[in-house]
Amino acid sequence: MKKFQGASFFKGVYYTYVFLFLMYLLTPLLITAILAFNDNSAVSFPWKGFTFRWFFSNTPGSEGVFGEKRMMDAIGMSLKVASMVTVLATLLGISNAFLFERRDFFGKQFLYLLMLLPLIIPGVVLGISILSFSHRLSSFFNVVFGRKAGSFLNPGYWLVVFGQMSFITTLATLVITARLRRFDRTLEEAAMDLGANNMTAVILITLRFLAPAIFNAAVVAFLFSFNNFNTTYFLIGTEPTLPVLLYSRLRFGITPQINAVSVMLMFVTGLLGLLSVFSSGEKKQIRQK
Amino acid sequence: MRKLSYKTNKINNTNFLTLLIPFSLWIFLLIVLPHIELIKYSFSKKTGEFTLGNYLHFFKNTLYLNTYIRSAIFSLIVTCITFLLGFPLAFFVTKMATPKLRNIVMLLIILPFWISELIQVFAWVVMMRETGIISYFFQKIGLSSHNIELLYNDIAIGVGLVYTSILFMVIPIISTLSTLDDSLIEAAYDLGASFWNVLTEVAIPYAAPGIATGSIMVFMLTLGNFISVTLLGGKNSLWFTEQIYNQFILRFNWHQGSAFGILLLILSSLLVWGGLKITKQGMAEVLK
Amino acid sequence: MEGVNVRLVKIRKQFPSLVAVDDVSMTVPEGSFFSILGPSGGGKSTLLRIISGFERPDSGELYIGGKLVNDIPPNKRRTNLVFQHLALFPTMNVAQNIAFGLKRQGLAKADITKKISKVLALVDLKKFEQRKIHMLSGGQKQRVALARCLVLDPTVLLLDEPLGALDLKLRESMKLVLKRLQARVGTTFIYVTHDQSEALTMSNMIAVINKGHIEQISNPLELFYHPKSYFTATFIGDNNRWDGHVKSINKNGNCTVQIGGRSFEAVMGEEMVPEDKVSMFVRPEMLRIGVSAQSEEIRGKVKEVVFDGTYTRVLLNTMFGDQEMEILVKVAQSEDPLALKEGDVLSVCLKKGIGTVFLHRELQDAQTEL
Repeated sequence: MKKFQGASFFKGVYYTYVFLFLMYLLTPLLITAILAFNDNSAVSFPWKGFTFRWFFSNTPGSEGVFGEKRMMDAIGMSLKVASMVTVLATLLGISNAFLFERRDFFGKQFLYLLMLLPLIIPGVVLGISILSFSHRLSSFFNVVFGRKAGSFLNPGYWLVVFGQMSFITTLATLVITARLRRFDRTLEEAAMDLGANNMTAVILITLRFLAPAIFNAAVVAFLFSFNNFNTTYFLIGTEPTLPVLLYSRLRFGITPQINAVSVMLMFVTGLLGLLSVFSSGEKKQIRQK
Repeated sequence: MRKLSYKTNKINNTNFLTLLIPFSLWIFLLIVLPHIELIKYSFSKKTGEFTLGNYLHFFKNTLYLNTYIRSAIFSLIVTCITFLLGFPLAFFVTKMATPKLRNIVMLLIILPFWISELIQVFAWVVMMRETGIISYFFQKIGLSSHNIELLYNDIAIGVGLVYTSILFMVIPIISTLSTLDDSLIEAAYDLGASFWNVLTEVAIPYAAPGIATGSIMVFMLTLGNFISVTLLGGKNSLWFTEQIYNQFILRFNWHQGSAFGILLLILSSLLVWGGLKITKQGMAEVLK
Repeated sequence: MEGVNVRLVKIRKQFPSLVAVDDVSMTVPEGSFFSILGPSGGGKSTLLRIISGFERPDSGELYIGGKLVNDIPPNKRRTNLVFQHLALFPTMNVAQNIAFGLKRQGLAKADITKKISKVLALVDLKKFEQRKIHMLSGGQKQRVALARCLVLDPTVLLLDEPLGALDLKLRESMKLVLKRLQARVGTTFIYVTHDQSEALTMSNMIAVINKGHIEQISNPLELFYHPKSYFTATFIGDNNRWDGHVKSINKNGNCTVQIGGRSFEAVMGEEMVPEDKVSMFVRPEMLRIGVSAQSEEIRGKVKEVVFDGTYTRVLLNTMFGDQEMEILVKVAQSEDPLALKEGDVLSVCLKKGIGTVFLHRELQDAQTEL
């Protein structure tokens, strides 16, 4: 519908702007993707032929992504962390959603704001605060329960999980709450009228309704966890997650291997992102009016 | 949704407590107590005694203070740029594109949104470094005779920051603008408005909530940014988060680092609160 | 052309799936309340959007105030449009909404304030300047939308079914408000609606449009008593439709129709010859209970009596020769309710020559009589 009346010239300029903007967004990513298959060890043009070696090669000193143990370990670590965070954050998200949507209680507004806080605290600060606190707790445990009792709170897997959960839980809660808010409670009433008790009604009817949002929350949690850097950086021990590993290598320069793994990540996270968009049960802004 | 006046659908007390416990554990153990700990650290010496020294050191040392102020101003500039570049796109997608075009464009802008910041920055390093793509093309078309280093300056940092955060500005604005009825735009034209009038008097005021959300998010992301700034700016980046990193990781001075962290938190919160006040929103609505 | 504000010459607009406006020509007299009446999808909204400038006609010319305006964009035309859902700017208050158009014209602030208070007084909303839009009632919003347009002193004010969202009582009062407002201000109103009572109440002239064609342009009384087409006869008000064929053409210009076993003298609505299959239309309001001279008498049995608040509708069964007929009679309420019940025998009379006859047609939609 042509709502704006203007010279076609103006329209042309506008369309060009949009086109250039999209180019700006996508070109860097496209080029990086192309270069991952370029048989040129200086990650740049000219094109020297098509190759998969940056992914699969095993030659020492020039290993591909899958050929290097450290790289694979980092990927594994990221996956382990992300899985745990996804599960915990999603469960907490469901629990929180019901807590806030199903009952009014004293201090609810305040607690709700508290819950939103992690989103406006810089990731760095989240990281160092948890680092400090865990250090204190760890010493406490060591003193009270003996040596090494608090070691699970030292920088490492669990600390990273806890650190990421501080804000990812909020994200999951918001996603699920948004959907729960739109649930027609009379459906639960109908279920109870037909003989179900409260708990059964919730499980059979409400959770079913929430399923797309739960899935969406899980995807969001997974992505945010996998990609996280600022908070994770302070909490990681000797076994880095993939972003941490990449960062430390990038400080010294680019290798085609780093390019390759970036492209893989691009692909996977891009797909997961699309999944998140299409899985949400809401009419998000993507869908046309 | 109508309010239910009887209690069958409200959760009973035991269930309520069951739900309250994980929530409380999470909030207290992961947010409240850690930040209290952080505050305590910031006010103590390595020996454990109370001190204001960490904060005083910040104010007295011109490097830290300048970095702090520079980070804040830079972030504000980036926020403005993302608005100026992003609003026209949001308006296009919601009000000018045909439904088919709209879906395509939305898809194209959603994709980079999910790709991690590290990867985005990496792509720009590949483009902008001395032996990178842009340098290559400049030489190819004769604009330059040798490699040019485009990195390690403020422009590079700016480009990277805008790139990694612009979608956080565009998407909330799209969300708000999509509820703007076309008849409002037509009415404005009918009353004599030009395209510029429509933008400034109808579209932008209407989109104010989305603009506020977007601005707050972009500002926070930028102020708290670490990867883009350090990779694109190198040693000259002078970003406050880097100071925190230095204190914690390089110097093991957690006390000084905590003070910096608290200062960063205060700055970030102040500007969020200020932004909300200016546009008269409540935080809960903005973050939906 | 003197005294003509808007003139359409063979305007045509086609969309992929249908022809919305099919070679429409009409003139709108200056200072009139002109309605475009028609069923949904008949093309009236498209016509309005063409006049206001939001649609361009495929062919034809549009003259406003004597000027050819085909190529003039909506923000430059001297027309203003009251939108169906009003389109009041939610981020502004009443005064700012009204000021919007004035600011485009570059008026000084003091002048703007004066004009705003004048127009608010005109629509009976004095002191409403600071009110927020969402705090207004439906009727108040209507009047703000009107004020916003009227303050710009347009050549033509266009209204797109603005009363649809209001409840009955409010709609009734708004009809009078609009009619009086137009008379007072003198601006040409072009009012688009599918609701005939709106058109009949408020208009000086009505253009009936169906499937992109103008069926008839007349004042309300003409339209009611002398429909010029089959569609108009069936669309406006209730009508008895009696099918038969032409018996003869009379010397006085009327015709005689044979319906069942009886014949009636009636006005010819269009060209016809004897033996043509026709329908004769008689308005229920024109049948009187009782007998009188110069009238045809029809005796029948009451089938159904319905009191609808304003009228009593009496359905009568009768025989025209050996053809069974159902007749609707409408009787206005008086001091006592009508003492009729099912099964009563009743005489009604029909003045000679009062029906109108058209060639018989099948209408696709349910736009039929009774």
